[in-house]
Amino acid sequence: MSAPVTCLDVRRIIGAEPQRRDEAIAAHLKDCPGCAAFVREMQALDARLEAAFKVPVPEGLEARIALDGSLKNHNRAWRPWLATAASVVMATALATFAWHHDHPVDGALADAVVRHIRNPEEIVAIGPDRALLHDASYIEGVMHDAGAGMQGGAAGLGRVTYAQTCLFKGERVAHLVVQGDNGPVTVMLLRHIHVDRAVPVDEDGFHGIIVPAGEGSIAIVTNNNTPVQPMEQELTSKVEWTL
Amino acid sequence: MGTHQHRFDMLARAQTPGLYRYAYWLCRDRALAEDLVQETLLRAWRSLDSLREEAAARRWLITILRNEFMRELSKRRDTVAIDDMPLVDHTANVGGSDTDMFDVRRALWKLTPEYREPLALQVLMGCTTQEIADMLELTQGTVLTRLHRARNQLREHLGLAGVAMGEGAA
Repeated sequence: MSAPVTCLDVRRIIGAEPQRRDEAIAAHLKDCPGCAAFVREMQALDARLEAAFKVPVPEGLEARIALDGSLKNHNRAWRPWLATAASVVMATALATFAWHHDHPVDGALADAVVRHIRNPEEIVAIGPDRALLHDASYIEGVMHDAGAGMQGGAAGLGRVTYAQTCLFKGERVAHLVVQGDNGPVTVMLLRHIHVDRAVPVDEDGFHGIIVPAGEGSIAIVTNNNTPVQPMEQELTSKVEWTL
Repeated sequence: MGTHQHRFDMLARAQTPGLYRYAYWLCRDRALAEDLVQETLLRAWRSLDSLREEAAARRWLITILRNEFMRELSKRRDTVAIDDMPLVDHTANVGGSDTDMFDVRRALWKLTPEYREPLALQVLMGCTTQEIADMLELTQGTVLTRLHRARNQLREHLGLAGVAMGEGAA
């Protein structure tokens, strides 16, 4: 017969292995409703984790790998070819990007910002029931990763409900959502995109502005009636680029 | 179809989804994850005869993929700042349109790799703590501690009610 275990033992063991059921643990759970509830909580957490870990697999990947005889029979011959092709594509893309970096096409930029916000993977960021982010250091970390900072810290942003570093036009940007007077307002800190003048945004029910901010720019966009002008003044005076 | 080919195809079909997901949670980059899986299976094809038991295939492939990732990481460290790794990709929320999935994935990315990886191996790949210890070259006790702390941090990030987890208990 195994030795009895304490509540702390159970929680430490189940915290590492929620599915584990030793004789001693099973006996403890029969008599301890608190630990039994904890086990249920951990199993529920693991079910959420399993679902979250299961990102979609690219369509046809298994079949491509399983059936691609050329991959196996020609060793890595495809790779130098692919690398060469990729280099050409990359060089073209970089040249195009460099040109656009200095000469952004206003309409295209506004369109890209709205498309990013409306992306199915991002649209939940402006959902109505998002909780406030209270961890200022997390928000500041996101801004830092995107090469941005804010005088006075993240508190100056107001009520932030979303903060994530995203890839936008090949560079990291800070994608923030702030709760405005009439609903969520998206703020994107675009360190790598310079605009000579304010660019209006008015597409697909979203409106706002992309304003110059030093060598970069800031997009402030919403799909409700929150006025963006006060935020524009606040942000352009306080956002600074750190990279 | 030859036995070798058939065996490989069966293996690739069965293991590719899990390997891709594991690779994605290692590198946070869909294109690189796909490349890592292809490279892993290419190496597996070449040395398939060394795989004696099909039951050991998953662990064997995970080890190959992990080595490939480490090699890639090492190459990139030579050319880019270490701060640039792991790659940051807006697909952190890939495939999740519901808010809960979105929040859980965000919480997972807030874990450091030393906590996230054993959790992925356990929850996603179904590895035992001893298997994880062997693959990561850690003691089983260290793996248990990391798994426990990972879940503890996730509960905090997700704002779950505070039932004591026993951290630091004797």
